[in-house]
Amino acid sequence: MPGQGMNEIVNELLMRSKDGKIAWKQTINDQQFRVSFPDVSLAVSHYPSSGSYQLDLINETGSTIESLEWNPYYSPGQTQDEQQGRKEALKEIYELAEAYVQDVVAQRALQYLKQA
Amino acid sequence: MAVLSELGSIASLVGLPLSLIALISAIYHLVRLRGETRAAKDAAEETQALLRTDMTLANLLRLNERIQGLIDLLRTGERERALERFPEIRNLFTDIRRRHPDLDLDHRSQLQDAVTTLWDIQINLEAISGAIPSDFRARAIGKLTGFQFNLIVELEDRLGQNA
Repeated sequence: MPGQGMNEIVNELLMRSKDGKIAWKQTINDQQFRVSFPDVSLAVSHYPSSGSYQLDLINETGSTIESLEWNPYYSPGQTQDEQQGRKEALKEIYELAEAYVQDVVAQRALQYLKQA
Repeated sequence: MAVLSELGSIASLVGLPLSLIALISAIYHLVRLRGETRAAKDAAEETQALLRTDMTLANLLRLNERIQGLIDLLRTGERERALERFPEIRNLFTDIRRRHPDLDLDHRSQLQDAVTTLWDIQINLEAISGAIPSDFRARAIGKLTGFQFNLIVELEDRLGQNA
């Protein structure tokens, strides 16, 4: 079933992010965070204008090869529960990534202040 | 007839140790040859590894120069010329990863992140029409400078240790 792998990635990513095991980084874009492994990356994005969330699977050359999106205006072939589940998972991953990056920066600032 | 038979026996008796000596000598030379072949193979592999490291260090130097060139073009707002630089820089990063599959997970992940970040910057730059916005320029230069001062320096140290 297409997209099944992405659903599993979302579940695993959410679980690992909750445990603080994912070293998220801010990308060049404001509302996007990414984590990279040896030959694959995952990027989570939020588009405030549409309210949508998206998770991209990126290959070793940097190209996006698969995406999973939650869009309030367009979610074909999904039940109400599936839509809600996808939205909550992607939103939570995004918020955890944002919190992780903010925490890293805050810790760094604190470290500098203590050394000053 | 009996004399001939006796002579044959003597010849056999003398021939046996000679054959044995010849056999031992052949085995000795074979073992020595195998040892030399292995030593030659080890030396060739070592030379190859050194060459690979040298090439990578040369590539890292070139990478640093190319990134600096890209930073300069972004600073002066030369969008078109900057866009031409991305494929080569990305390839140099990919090449290091390909040449050194023994790099640790962290460095390989950082190389992957660098390749992906370069795509991000390129795609964003392509979408810009007109002058490059200052906030985008600052963020892009920040990322590129980060590669120069963190990743490239770390890789030089790591790969230089093997030289």
